[in-house]
Amino acid sequence: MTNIGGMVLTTDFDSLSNDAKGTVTLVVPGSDTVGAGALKSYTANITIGSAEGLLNASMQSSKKGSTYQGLSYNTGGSSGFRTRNGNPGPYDLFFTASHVSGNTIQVSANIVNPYGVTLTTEAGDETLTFFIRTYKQPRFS
Amino acid sequence: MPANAASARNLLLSTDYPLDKVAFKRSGTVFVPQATFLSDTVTVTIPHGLPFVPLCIGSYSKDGYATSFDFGMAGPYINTGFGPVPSPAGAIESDATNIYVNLFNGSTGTTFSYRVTALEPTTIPTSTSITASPATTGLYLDTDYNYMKIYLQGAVVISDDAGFGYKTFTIDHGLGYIPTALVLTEYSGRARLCGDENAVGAAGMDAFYSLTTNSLVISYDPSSAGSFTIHYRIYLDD
Repeated sequence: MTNIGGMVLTTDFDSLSNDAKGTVTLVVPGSDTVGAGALKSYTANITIGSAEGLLNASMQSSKKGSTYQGLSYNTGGSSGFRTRNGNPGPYDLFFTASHVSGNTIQVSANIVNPYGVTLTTEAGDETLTFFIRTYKQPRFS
Repeated sequence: MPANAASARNLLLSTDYPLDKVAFKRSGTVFVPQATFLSDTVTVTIPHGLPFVPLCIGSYSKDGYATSFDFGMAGPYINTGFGPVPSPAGAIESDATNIYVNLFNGSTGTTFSYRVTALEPTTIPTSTSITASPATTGLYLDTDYNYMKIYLQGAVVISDDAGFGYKTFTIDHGLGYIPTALVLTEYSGRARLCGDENAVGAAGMDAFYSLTTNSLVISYDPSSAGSFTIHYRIYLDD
């Protein structure tokens, strides 16, 4: 048995090591339409780090100051203003990040229109800055 | 000599700042059929044999890691028979006995691969010992790699009355830049990545986190009154 509690460094256990970091931006247009019941996705890619690396991602919106939100399964944000049948209301953007090939990471912002009529976004362009860090997997063989 | 975060930030490792310890790791495959309902998830239960609830991260893939997705983040949105949803999707949880890998597939059934990394929590006593797994190749500490150095870590127990709306808990790091952070919540005996709490078979509270150049802010909203724990790590590495 080997001590794991209270150890600063130990050669008995694997750890996490840095791989690469970078930023990628994408713009959600301020006047776009999303069909009834449809999905509209905006994507951008960044190629950094090693294939199969682990991701840590956070995202900052031009509409929400300098705070970076940690990306998670439930990362979403009501982002401005839309009309539906001429009636105003908010809409939600949902964000994702994943490896789409090798060491290429794709980030996306997604609008899901749950309504039976077209949704029109009307709140001006929103620039999203994704801060991407990758780190190396512990060895599995 | 007091620790110097500014200089340690540029070091591969430093005895002033601890590294994460991988207490357990496991990889495997499982067939995940196409979901008929949003609640259709496949759960892989992995006994970990540890004397504590580990903090789990990891990744999964539908194609042998040609593409991959991290637990704690959503996969790309696709159109399915029940509307646009992130697919594939995965969540990971752990309790005192097992690690649970939950997987959702909105497309044609296929075999998923997964890799689970379980880290030791801050809450364990300093005398805690476990069986170490020797490195099969190479070294666990190697100066060819730049290790993630923990600047601040802790486990905060929060009591909440489950009143309406999100509340926040703030940790001041004062680093002057946006650092890397790892945040998990432990609720009803299960630990899961912050933001994953009600995703893909994981159930419990809602939470997410944000970072400024000086603070980590965790926003939470449990569904029932009681206590839960926030586990956090803020790394020197940005």
